[in-house]
Amino acid sequence: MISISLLMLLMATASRIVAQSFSCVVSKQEVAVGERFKISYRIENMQARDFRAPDFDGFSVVGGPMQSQNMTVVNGAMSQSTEISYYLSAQRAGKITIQPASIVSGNRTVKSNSVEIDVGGTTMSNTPNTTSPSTQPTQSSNQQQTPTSRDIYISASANRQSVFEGEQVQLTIQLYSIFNSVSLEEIKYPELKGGWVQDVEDAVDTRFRQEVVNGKRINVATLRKSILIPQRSGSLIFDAVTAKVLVQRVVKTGNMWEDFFYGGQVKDERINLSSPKISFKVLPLPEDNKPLSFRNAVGKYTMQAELDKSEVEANDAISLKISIVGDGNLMLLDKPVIDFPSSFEVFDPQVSDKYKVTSTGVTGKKIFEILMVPRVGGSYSFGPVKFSFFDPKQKKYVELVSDTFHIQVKGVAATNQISSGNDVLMTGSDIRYIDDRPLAKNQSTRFFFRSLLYFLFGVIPFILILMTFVFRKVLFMRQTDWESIRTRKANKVAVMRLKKTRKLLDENKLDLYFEEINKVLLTYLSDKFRISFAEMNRDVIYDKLIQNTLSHEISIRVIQVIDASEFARFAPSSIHAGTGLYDEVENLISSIEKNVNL
Amino acid sequence: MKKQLFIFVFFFYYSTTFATIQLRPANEAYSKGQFDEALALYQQLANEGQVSWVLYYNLANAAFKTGNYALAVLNYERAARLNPTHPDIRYNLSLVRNQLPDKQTVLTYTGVTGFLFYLRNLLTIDQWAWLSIMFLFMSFVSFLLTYLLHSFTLKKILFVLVPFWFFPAISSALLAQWYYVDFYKNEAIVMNTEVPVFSSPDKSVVLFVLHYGTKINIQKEKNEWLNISFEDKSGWIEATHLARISVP
Repeated sequence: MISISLLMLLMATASRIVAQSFSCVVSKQEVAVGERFKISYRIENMQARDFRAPDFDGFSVVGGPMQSQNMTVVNGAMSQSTEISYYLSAQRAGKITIQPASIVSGNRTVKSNSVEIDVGGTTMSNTPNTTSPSTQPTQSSNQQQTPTSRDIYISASANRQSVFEGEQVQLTIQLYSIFNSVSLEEIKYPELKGGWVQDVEDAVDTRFRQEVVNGKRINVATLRKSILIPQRSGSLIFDAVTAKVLVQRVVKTGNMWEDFFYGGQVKDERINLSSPKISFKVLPLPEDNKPLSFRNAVGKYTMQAELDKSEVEANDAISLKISIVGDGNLMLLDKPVIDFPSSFEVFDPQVSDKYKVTSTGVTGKKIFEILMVPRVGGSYSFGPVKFSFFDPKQKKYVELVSDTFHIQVKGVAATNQISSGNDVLMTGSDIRYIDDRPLAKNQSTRFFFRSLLYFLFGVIPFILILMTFVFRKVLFMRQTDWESIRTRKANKVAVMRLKKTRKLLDENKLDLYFEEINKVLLTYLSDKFRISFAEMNRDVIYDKLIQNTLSHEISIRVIQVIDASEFARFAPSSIHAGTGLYDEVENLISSIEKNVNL
Repeated sequence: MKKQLFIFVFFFYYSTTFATIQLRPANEAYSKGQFDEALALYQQLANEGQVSWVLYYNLANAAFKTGNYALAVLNYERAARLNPTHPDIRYNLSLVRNQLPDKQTVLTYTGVTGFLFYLRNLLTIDQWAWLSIMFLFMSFVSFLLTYLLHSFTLKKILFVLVPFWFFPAISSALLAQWYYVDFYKNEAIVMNTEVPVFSSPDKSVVLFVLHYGTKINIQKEKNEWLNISFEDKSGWIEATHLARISVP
């Protein structure tokens, strides 16, 4: 039996291992005689060696063992699985139990579950046209048999079945045949939904080469090699490849002569073939640490970004060339996101890509050429250009960052040329955000304007002006009244005061008498003619008297009397002189009263 | 007694002026995208009689987000009355107007009136009022000095100063008045989806139909009916369909 001893040499350093199991799965549980089906043994998270397949009693092994390994790390937890599969075809009808397979893990033997297959009596249509299903084939003479699915079949295999979104998978479609002369009449490849498939050029080799499968020599031709890139997460199914082949084979006729010389009769047979379906488990790209500049690029890339010139006149075009080189889903790359200065008119990029699909994957480069026209002079800087991709091998994102670009734009363009309405349209899609201060002042709608206080303030100046007017008027009137009274009472006052001075004369107090009589005269003049004491001198008195229609003689006489009274004060004289002066003053006052009418 | 009364009035004035409105819970709801809840919280504050352009502006934003455009217009208009120059209010108001079914010409001032409008909005109503008082007092002082002083040269200078102060006093008062009239303009917003306008205050002849969010002028009132004008049309409308912009 087949023993596989080097199964799980890898992954000894798994940080956490989950759910160990060893199970057997068949693609169909009810088959017809001669129909092919797949039996897979799945070893999950086990260090296994020494795989022993059961005797497939009642079945013949048409393909396999095929082995595929799978490892996934999700959030640091690693799970690994190995699948060993065979293609079997039932040889007889009835219920046949396939015994469990075994592996040795550590130092114990682990057995898988056993499977019961219900084999129906009739052959299926897609199996090669068996002329007589009831005839028991004998192992000894292969050529006598009608061709079974063990003799000729198509296999479709993928290098991995658990992939990330956007990761590349190699798909190989091969034709196995024990017959030497096979011509392919028709082949139909399925359409793939949710993925992108591109054939590898010059990988098709329809010439047979020989391989040993299951201890038998068999011819193998590679029909197609493709690169498949799943574009959405979930499960993706690659449908069966169907083909129609023409087989030429030698059939023993029973005629010894012919058999001897020609080896039998050559017979053409048309056979319909179909490959098993392949289902892929497509993992979504991790959300953790996903860069903002990530635009579904998966693979491994390098980026180069350059400007053709860094100094231009306004309205001259500049081009920014971004080239991305590497392996991965190049044809699905979007242009990197760049913030250009707002006064630049930026055109849609010109995209050119050049890539090659090889058996290891898609490789090549993609160039974005962005044309921009600065409209206003000045010095600008923008960038850096950021491009990020997911590296499925390392299972992480990588961000590539270019330098920042500096552009010197000379001259000022006419203002009407800056008519890029684009920005306005974009921002116009939503209202502006709330004012998010936590506390707002309560605004009073009771205004000071037009309030009582306001009117009061407005009226007060006018009232004050009015009041000033009135006050001054009253003051003036009062003042004039008082002076006229003084004038009117001047004579009375003078006469009364004169009588008092007479007493001083009688008592012979001459000093005081002269002083008093001088005062009486001056006071009288001040009151009568409204002359303030400060202004009083001979000239003023004389002028005032003349003004008030008094004769020159009287005026001179008044001055003389004032002088005499003053002189007498400092050089005392007789009582006789005093009496004379008294009469003189009395006469003068009465004559002024007579002549002046105020 | 009088002094006590004065202090009381003073205190009352200031206590209402500087009371603050707690907007934090509503703003937080808005920032989390819970617009219905934010709208309810803002609405509650407004119903309590709180007055602030910030409150009205945020309320309008929440109303816009919940699709209640009539309520949004009403509150943007209220916010604009309290703060006529705020760019965000004007921007959002113009944006929400674009969503309304009735086309409406928006009054804009250009040229000299535009300049005066700009000048007017530099200060608030009360600031203009105080300014006019100040200028009036300056004018008054100049006049009084002209009257009282004896020196002739000083009198001449001061006499020129009287109109020099008096003119800005009157201008400030006029700007305040303009602002005040705009503030209490008798306008309303149509709150219901489709509202018929009748030829008389009974349900007689339908002249035209107005839709939600349209701004109209109220001319006069009669019981539950309002005489309104919209652009060059006028008619009678039931008061329940409208909400007045004037802040209560």
